[in-house]
Amino acid sequence: MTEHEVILPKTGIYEGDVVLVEWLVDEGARVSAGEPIFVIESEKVEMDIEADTDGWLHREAEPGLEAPIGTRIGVICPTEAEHRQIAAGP
Amino acid sequence: MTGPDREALERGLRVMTRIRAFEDRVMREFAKGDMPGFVHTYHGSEPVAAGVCAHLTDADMITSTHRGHGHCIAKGCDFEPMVAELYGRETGLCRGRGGSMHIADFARGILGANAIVGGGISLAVGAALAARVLSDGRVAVSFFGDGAANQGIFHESLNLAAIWRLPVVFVCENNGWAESTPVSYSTSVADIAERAAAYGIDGAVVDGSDYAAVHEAAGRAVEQARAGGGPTLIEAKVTRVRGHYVGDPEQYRSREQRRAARTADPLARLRAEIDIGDYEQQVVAELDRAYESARAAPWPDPAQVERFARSDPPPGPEPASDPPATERQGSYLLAVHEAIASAMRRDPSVIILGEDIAGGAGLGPPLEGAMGGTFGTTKGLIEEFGPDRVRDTPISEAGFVGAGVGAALADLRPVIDVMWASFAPYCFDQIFNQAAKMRYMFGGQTDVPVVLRMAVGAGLRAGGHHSDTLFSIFAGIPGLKVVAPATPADAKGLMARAVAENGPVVVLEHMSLYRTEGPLPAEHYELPIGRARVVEPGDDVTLIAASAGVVMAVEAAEALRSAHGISAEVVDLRTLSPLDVDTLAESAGRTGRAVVIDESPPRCSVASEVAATVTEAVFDRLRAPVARVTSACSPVPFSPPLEDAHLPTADRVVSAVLDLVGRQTK
Ligand SMILES: Cc1ncc(C[n+]2csc(CCOP(=O)(O)OP(=O)(O)O)c2C)c(N)n1
Repeated sequence: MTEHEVILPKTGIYEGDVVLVEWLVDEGARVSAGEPIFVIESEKVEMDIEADTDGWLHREAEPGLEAPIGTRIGVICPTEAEHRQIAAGP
Repeated sequence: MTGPDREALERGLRVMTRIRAFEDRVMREFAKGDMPGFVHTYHGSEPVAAGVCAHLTDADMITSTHRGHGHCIAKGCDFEPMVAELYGRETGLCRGRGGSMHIADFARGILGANAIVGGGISLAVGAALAARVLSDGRVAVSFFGDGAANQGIFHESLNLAAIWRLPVVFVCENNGWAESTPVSYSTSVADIAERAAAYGIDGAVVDGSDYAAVHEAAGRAVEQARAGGGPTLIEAKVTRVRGHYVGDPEQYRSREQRRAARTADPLARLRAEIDIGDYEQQVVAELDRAYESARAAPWPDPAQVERFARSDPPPGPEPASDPPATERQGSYLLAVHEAIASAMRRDPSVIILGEDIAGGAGLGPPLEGAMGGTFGTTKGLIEEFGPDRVRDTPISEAGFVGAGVGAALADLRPVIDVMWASFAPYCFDQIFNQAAKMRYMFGGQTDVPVVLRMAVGAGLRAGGHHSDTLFSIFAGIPGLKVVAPATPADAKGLMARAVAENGPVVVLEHMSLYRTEGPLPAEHYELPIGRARVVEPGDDVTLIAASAGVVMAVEAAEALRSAHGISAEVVDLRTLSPLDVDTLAESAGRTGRAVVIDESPPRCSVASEVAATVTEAVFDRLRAPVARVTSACSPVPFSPPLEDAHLPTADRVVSAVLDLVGRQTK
């Protein structure tokens, strides 16, 4: 698997559940490392989370999801073709 | 000096590539949630660590910060033990006792990251002092942020390094922010390097995103330091590309400002010029292995939670608990003097530091007749050992205690005179966070053989700032050993032992005892730390005391015997930490009663600790609760009737004993 997982991240010392507040980019959009791609809420503070690699974003979770740190919420695919394949489902 | 050649640039790019890959990976792995605590990354400052450390050998020493991964990598640390340390594993550089913010690698001259902002600066001054005293050509470098340049310790350290012309380079990484506070708000000058002028040393501003520029400026500073030309302050202007810590919401900068910061890439220029092939992929593979092995590595054994907290006793058998027999009489003051002088004669790595300890000799020859310390304990030592080993300091307690601690990390055994214990709060960080914690936080990589001398005690009508004993303050710190001798013979033997110990020892010298006389063996001898002494045997009650309290206890015992027919045993603690539980328990268990005398205030006092310890050990053999006779719960007053009321007295000890005898339950 060459795609790159997008997870709900640990931010600072807080280890409780994290809320996915909103996506900042569309399904299938091309993203680049350092670009904010979604917003989380952790300990009542909202913050942008940036892509840590370049590629095409596939979103796998809806805003409002509250889940533990490390929960997968999407992937970043290295090529558009791989994104198309993943978006089409197994 | 010319700029770096192509080969040097290529080496620099490789180091920066390692740092960048390491930090990118830290961010990714931290997000997963299994890396404990929090971490700060070095994004944007890569040329600084790389360009400075390019001029250093493993023997040269650096002090680092909470943002220290880049410094470690540039100084040559391997990834595997670094990553294991980030995960708190036994295979980590500090056996998991330190973590990201307290990482150290003494084999590579890394005297520790420091999570106390500014904490490393005076340690580097001390390391440089050691290099100077030992004339071994080493150089010390201190990395710190713009925030640290507003700490007093920064200013004290620059002054010390300047007046002693030490081989040290101060490298301020100005990333524009201290957490959320912009440097433009917090700092009185446009360039922090301007502050060098205040101390008469060289200052240089350098573009910290330009590897060649940093390399050149650092090369000049290191060469000057090594050649005896004294310190330099380099301010490297860098961008804080990321948040303060990984996961920082960065509420203090807008999305646009963050965006702009993220685009700063100090590696870009060299990457465009120099081809290092697949080096980055190699580094990534190296990191893959490091993470895999760190996650599989064993945790430290919880049963070893106290391991490394205190230094091991010096090698060899423990010395006899009693001083050698002698006919010779001498004062407590002479005892302290003789112990220090003989330690200096026996071991050339022993130096002494403090205000006025030479006294008037700072101006150079003639050295004769210098004052020799406020109390005269070090009089004559400057003549015998010279100004390199008997070093007067400016009034900079934090600076010179930090320097002493730093020198102890770099092969010297400093004996530091803090003068009055009441002044110790000025150097509390250096004692509490640095000297006392280092061996532990660094997983036993280093010892910190430093002696902290302090004059304690009230009764001299000196008022609140010259009369404290602070017994419990020091005895409550896990990494310290604390002695408080009561007699000349103990003062000599315990001071000698303190210098021989490999860990920090606080020696509390009582001012009211300096002039007292007693048996004082002429020869060099050591007394063991952690052994109490039965001063006078007795049957009905145990009086436990230390320092001048022992004099009080002996007086009370005499009164109890002659006026009340009560036989009191007097036990001199001699060491406040660690306590000699066996001797206390044996005596109190036998007499069934104990009174503890303590010249410090009562709250959380050594008296309380001794009372609890004795009760836990021999509760079933006690005939009454353990009583405490301490000073009042107030600062030491000036007015004589108030000061007399504040202090414990032999009369109060007698009353306490009579009370115990009256209220006994068994
Ligand atoms: C003595 C002390 N005060 C405050 C803190 C909390 N703190 C940690 S890092 C930091 C900012 C330090 O700024 P700077 O020295 O510029 O270094 P940077 O983080 O920018 O690298 C602060 C205030 C601390 N760790 N130590």
